[in-house]
Amino acid sequence: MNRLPLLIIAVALLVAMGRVMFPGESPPRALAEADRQALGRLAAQAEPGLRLEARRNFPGDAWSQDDDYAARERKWAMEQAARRGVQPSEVFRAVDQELRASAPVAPPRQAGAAPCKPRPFYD
Amino acid sequence: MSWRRLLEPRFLLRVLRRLALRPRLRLALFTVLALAAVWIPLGQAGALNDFRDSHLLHSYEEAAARTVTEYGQLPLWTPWSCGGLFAWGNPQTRQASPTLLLSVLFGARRAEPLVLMLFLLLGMEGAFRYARLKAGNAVGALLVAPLFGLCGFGAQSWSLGWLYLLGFLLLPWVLWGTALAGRGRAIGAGAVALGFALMLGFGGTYPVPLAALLVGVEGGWALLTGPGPWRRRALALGTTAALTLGACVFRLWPIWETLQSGPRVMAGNPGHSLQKVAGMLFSFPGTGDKGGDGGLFFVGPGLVLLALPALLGRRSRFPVGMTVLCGWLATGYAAHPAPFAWLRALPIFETLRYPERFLFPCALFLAVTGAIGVGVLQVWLRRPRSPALTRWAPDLLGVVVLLCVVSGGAQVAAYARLAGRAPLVALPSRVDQPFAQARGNRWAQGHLLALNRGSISCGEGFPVPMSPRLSGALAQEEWLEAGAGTVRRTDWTPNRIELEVTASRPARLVVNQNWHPGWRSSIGEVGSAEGLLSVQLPAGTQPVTLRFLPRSALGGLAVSLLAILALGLLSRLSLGGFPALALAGVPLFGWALIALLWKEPAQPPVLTNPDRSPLRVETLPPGVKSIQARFESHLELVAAGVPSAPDARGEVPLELYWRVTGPVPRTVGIFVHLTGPGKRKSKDHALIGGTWFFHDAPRGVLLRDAFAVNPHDWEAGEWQVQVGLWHASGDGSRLVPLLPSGEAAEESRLVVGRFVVPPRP
Repeated sequence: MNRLPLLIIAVALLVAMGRVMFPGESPPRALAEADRQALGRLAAQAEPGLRLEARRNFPGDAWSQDDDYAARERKWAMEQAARRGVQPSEVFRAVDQELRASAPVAPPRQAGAAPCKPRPFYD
Repeated sequence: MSWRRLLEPRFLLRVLRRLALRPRLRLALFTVLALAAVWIPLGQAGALNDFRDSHLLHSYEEAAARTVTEYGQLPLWTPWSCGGLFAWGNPQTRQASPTLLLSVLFGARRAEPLVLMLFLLLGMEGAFRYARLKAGNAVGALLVAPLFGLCGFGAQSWSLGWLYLLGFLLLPWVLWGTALAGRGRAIGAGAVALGFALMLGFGGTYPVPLAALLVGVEGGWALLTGPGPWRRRALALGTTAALTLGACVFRLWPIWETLQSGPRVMAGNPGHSLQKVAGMLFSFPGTGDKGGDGGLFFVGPGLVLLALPALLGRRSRFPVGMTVLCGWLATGYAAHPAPFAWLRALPIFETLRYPERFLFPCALFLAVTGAIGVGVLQVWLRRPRSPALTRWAPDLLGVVVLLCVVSGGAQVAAYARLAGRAPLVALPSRVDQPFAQARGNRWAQGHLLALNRGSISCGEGFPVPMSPRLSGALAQEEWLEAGAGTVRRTDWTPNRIELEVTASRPARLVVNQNWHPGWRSSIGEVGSAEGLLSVQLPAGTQPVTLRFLPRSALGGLAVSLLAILALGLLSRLSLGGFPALALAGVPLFGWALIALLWKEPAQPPVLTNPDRSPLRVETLPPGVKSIQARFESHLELVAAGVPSAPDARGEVPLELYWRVTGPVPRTVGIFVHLTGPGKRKSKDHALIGGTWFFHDAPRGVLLRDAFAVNPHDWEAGEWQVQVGLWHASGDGSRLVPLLPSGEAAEESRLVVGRFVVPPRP
């Protein structure tokens, strides 16, 4: 009887551990190299427009502009991933490869991001 | 045994008492409850939480687990975030905690729900102990402990990826420890020291300062009302404080150093109506991710009913007072007067953004009051004062138990609903390639980590010291400047980089990561190349090894281990005596010694405007307009720069040159009115250059406050720029400026320039 609580605890912990070990959702397919390159070019074409919108939203604020751009890029990447039935990481991989292939990257495109300087208020 | 007997109140009470007083039985009950509450998160394990904060925060834990499992290193430096940063120095990381072992064993994603379950269990047991101590009633404590542990904020933290906020569940432990320490019990000192150390190791942005504040109040209460001579109580609490500080140095020191280099500043006047705050606590959470704020801290109205009888007794004075105080603080600036605003005037607390997080301690004190309420009912049951009560008292107990069961059930359901809000997607497959920095994206950092790419794009809660030279398009991550030779990477790990360098002349080796004073080199002198990690090397071919060995983490770890050793020895001494205080002082003495003997350069803050121009200037640049207006409160607007038209990018960059000559209230901010054809726009801001309140700005120097507007969709014509100062976070009144002529400006604002917006093409 004294061991029953310990047994309950052990079983509960084992159930918890067993449940987290279940395989997750299987990831969607990866892109072929040529498709990735094409997607990278598409990202390069989209960048100036997205940067212009970000600049208008946060004039004179380098970090906020880049952060706003990143939010727009993320949305774009998610849409591209959903359209192609691939993981978003494949889209970011395409962007990364294209930037390296285009170095040195000329404005308005950027190969980096402004140092983090968060805005001091949110409310 | 019949069902009727099972439901018989006195029998039920006996069962509850047995459950409460037998630790194994109690823990078994709490474990089953925790398992039920996290059933949904457990089933979601292994997926990627796609919420933006989760991307940022979880990446630290994922990188830490990777650093341990793949490189066999203590995860001090993470090259994957923000171009490289000192992970222990970032208050939002939770990797300096024993829970990292779970991430290492199960993988960071799969470990998350187990961590949630573990903290839930800790929260319930801690709440039981604290409530029992305060209520003097084990049954009441048993009934309310799950109601606190299952507070909706835990599930909310899970679904948004704010797992580090689970540190709040350690709050009852440190309060329990403080109360016991005030009574001279060494175990109390241990609970406070280890509780805070765990809270900090797990990431303590909100839990630690809030807990410190409440522990201060609890300590004060213990000092005033505890048993025995007050001197002994004071010594016991002082010893506890010293040991706690020592136990926390491993994390406090890195965080303190980091925030010196990148001070977090928070402006604004966040506030919530009482109705909204009550809704967060008592309304059942809505469905979906747009369920609103209702029920975010759900504890259910049942707890209030339990607490009501407690109002009749004196024992409830402290928890009731604290419930009210925490609820009041949770309303932020919406209350008048607003204690949250007073709190924001204090160091550390000035950086708090969300007043509603005081609802977590509010739930705890409400639970304690509920436990006292159950105790009052039990007394009635045992000694009914009227025949009517004699008849109804047993049924009343049944109602109380039923209320707790229903409340607990509702909380498990609310927990599941809040946890179900997590936006989950499939975990990205890992790509096996050498590490390199990428431009990255902090809103999707989990995807970058899978590619073994660092994200220069950074969205931390403080201005991270980062190099503007970081690049995500380099052929090589390490190079020699000015083409002075070649660099070959021979081995790469997060905290150690091994290179083969051939330099034709003395040259600077540069690494595409941020510099931090904790980096050491096997040869040459480590320094900062515009914020990048660099080493000045002699000519020749040589192996170079860079290691990250920060004084604050390694020295701090030694101090904390010493403090834990002292805690172990404390059981042999009386907590309320001078020998115990002396023992508690040993780790702090060690800390002073390490700081004195182990020299490490400081990392000065980079003080710039949001457009990255310097904040301090020696002289006025040419072309700016002299203003020379003096405001009350020791402030001068020296000059202003307003261009005549938008620049090539279509922006109008504006500059204000300020001088602060004496003390200024923290409430003072800048208002900027732009008045044009039929319209007025504003560009108000509370901080100079997004960096300082006037209150904190350096005195007697010229400060450049740069900002800009983009008038691409404004009416064409002339726009006038008017500037003034006001009590932005106070009563909203304006400060009166005096012109050089001695006259006061009209409407307390100054015209500093004009620009013309051209017609739209």
